[in-house]
Amino acid sequence: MTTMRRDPLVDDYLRRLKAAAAGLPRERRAELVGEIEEHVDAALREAGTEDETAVRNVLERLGSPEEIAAAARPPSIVPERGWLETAALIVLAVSFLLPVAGYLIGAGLVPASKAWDGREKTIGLLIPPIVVLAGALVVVAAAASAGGSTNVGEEPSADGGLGPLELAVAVLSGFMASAYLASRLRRPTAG
Amino acid sequence: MEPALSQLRRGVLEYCVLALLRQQERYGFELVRSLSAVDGLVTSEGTIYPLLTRLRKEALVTTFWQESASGPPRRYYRLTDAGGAALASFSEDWARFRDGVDALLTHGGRDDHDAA
Repeated sequence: MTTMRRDPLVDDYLRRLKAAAAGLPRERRAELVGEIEEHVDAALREAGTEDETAVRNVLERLGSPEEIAAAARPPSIVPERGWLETAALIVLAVSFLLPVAGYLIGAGLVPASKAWDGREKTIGLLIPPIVVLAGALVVVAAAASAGGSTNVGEEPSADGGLGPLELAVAVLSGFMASAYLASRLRRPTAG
Repeated sequence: MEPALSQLRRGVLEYCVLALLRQQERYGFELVRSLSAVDGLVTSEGTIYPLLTRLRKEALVTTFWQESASGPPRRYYRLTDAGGAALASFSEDWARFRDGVDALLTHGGRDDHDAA
């Protein structure tokens, strides 16, 4: 809208604001950035100068972009356990009952929750595959060291049943994911 | 920053915005500057804009655009009936609150038979 040549400090400030407000709905973010932009223009017009000191003053009075973005976020994104989180935790904890499908259902529920952030969701959902992979390596290693004996590394898919080791891995994988995600709920509301 | 003051500020700021709009419509920058002029009320001017958005969402204010003599069109804020009612109710509460706290601070909560 404005055709003023911009001080690079202002550009940099607005860029930081856009980045900090990345979590807002797009329309809301554009509006916020527009308002701050307008404020800067008005403040500089009022100051009657656009030298660096004036620009720095205006930006300092605005506060940090991160602070502004934080004020624009809805106040209560407190991680709380609702029915969705409870269902996801239970499904994951007992996912060994339905070996692959159980995990997939859990993996479908977890992303829908707002109580975990993206990183927690990723870690939680990566735990079962990693544990299963580690378990598979143990099984393979055990089979190799047993010199091809079929007792230890029995193929689970042969008759659809799970050997004791596979069962332990399956139980552990889901349980660990569930325990991790449960531990991330109801943390103190610092951020 | 003093926590007690910052909590007070947060609770009171939106009503100060409504109060500024009681007599006349104002645009964002004008509101921010008027609030900043009150000592201790605003620490970061930029955080007032999200507050204005919230007041609009709560239908306590409405906005409209208006041409300005200098520069681009401005977004003006106007008090709604609901906003006026919220302001009136807060003004009453505030007067009681202020008087009560003042009495405590000055008389130390002594029975005000003779004070008042």
